[in-house]
Amino acid sequence: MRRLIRLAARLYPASWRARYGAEFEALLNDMRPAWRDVFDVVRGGLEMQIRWGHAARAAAMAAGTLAVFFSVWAALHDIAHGLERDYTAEYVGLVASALGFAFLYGKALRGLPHRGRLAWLRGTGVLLAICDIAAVAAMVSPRLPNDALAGFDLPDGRSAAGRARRLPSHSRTQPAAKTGRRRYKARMNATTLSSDAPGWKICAHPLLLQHGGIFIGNDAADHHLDGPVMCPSCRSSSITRGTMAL
Amino acid sequence: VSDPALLVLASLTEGDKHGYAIMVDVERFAGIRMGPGTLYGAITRLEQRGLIRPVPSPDRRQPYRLTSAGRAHLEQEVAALARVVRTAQGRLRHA
Repeated sequence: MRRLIRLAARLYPASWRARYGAEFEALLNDMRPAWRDVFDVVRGGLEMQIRWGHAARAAAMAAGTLAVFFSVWAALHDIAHGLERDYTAEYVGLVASALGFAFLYGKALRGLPHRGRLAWLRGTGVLLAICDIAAVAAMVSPRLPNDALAGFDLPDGRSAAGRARRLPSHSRTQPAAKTGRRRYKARMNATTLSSDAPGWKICAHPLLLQHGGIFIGNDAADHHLDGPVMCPSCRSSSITRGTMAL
Repeated sequence: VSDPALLVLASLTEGDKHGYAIMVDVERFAGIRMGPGTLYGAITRLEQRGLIRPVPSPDRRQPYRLTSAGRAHLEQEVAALARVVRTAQGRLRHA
C-alpha cells in the first residue's frame, strides 16, 4: 500500500515534492495507510498541480480523470439500456480517458528507478501506450459502411411497408425495393432494436453488426434464416437474413 | 468543523507538531482521520498564508508552529463557530 501511495505521490508537482517530499515520506513511514489514502493522495496531487504546477497540466489531469468516470458511466449506461444509439460520445470519452490515463500513468512513472524491484513498472508504460494507441485506432476506424443493405422476408408486404414508415427516425429503416411477392430490402444505417418497432421482431445473425448496420433483435417465434443478408459492401460474410414478423 | 485547515490550526495550539502527530491528535480530539493528501494540502495552504511556519528539526519529520496570524485567524474562526453553536442550541431549545 505504501508503494502505491508513493507512486501516487509522484502526481504532485516537482516543486511541491522538493519542498514537502521528505516530510511527506516520513509521514507515510509513520502512518498505517489504507486504500482510501491512495485516492486521498491522488486528489491532493490534482489540487497541488493546480496550486503549484501549470494550469494546463492540471486541467488535462482533471479532464482525464473526469473522462475516466464518464467512460465508466457510459459503459454502465449501455449495459443497462442496450446498445441502441451511436457511440460518438463514448468514443470521445474513451479517447479522452485513454489520453488522460496515459498522462497520469506517465507522470506517476516518471522518476522511477531504472533498477530495483519497481523497475519493471517502467516497461508497462510503453505497453500501456501501445494498448492505448491500438484501442483508440480500433475504436475510431469504421468497421462497416454507413449504409448496409439487409433483406427481410415480410409476411405481408403492404402492412410491412406501413409499419416500416413508423419506425423511429433514428433507425431510418425503409423498404428499398420489392424483390418478390413478399420480400423487401431494408436499408439500415443506424442502430435498431426490435423494441423500437412495436409489434415487430427483427431477427438477424449475428446479433450485433458494428457501426453502420446494427441489428439487435429478439428471436421471434416464427423466424427463420434462409440465406445471407444482401449486404454487398459488408466485410462480414456471416450476416444472414432474418425475418420481420408481425 | 471538519475543515482540515481549522483542525490543523486547532491541533497546533497545543504546541509544535509534525504531520503524523497532527494526524493522530486530530483523530483523537475530533474523531476525523485525515488522509496524507488532505493533511498536506492543509499544511501547504496554511504555510502559504503565513498561518503556520516550519521549525528546525533534526530529522525528516518537519514540525510546524502556529504563527501569531494563525492564532488570530483561529480565534476568529472559533468565535464564528461559537456563534453558530449558540444560535443552534437556542433554537433547538425552543423547537
